[in-house]
Amino acid sequence: MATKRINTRFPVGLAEKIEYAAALRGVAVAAFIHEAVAERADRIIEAESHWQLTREESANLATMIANPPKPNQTMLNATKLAVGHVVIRS
Amino acid sequence: MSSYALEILAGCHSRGEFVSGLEPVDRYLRETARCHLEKGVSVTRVLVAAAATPPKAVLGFFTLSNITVEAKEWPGVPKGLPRQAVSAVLLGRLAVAKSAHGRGIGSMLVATVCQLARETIARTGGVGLVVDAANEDIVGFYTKYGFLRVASDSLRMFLPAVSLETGMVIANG
Repeated sequence: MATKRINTRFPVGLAEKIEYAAALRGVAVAAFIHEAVAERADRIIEAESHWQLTREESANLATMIANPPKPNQTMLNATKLAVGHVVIRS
Repeated sequence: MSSYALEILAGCHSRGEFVSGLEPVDRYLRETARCHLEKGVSVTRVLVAAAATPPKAVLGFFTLSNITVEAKEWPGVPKGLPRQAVSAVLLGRLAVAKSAHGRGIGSMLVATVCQLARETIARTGGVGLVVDAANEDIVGFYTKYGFLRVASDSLRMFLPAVSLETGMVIANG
């Protein structure tokens, strides 16, 4: 597997916490960091491309879609401002 | 004649000097936005003075991408919405340069985002515009324009496609 070095330094307290957590899990510190960072990265990337709604979110979204709010005056003013002053080149 | 121009981020834009005050957002513009553009992850557009010449100062920017929205159920809706994932437009980031505050740049960017989202949805479908606010202050900013919070403890906000369409019709009417 090709690898790439990412240089980073940890504050002493965090480094000790990571070492302790890795020991509790019974894995090497490097493996622990890889796993934790990969999980976090996956969650961030997933959140930018896929949204699995919770029950509260789906209920709220359904209500919004069924009863779409009319644009308020602030939005209408912004739209008029943009139409008059912004040209979309690309 | 238009005062400002919206352009897809390119080498002619001076992104290294952009300061909004939100460091993660500024860093995204400096270090990640062009890479995401090249890889098809998202599209970042910048607002510049219409008469600017390279290197063009960035007055504000935003990043749009597509997001799929999936629900196990749509409670409270008699006819129901589709169980399969539906698409929406995601506004991941929007920021105004500190040096350009007080000119209505933020308002113009929000309105232009809505216009582009409306056009995308008209071409390819979608339920609306999703916005990820960075913090509670920014939730307040989008609330002024009518965006609605999707859950009480969430920084994610939403505006349905019909609202986007209606806004453009009324403003042009």
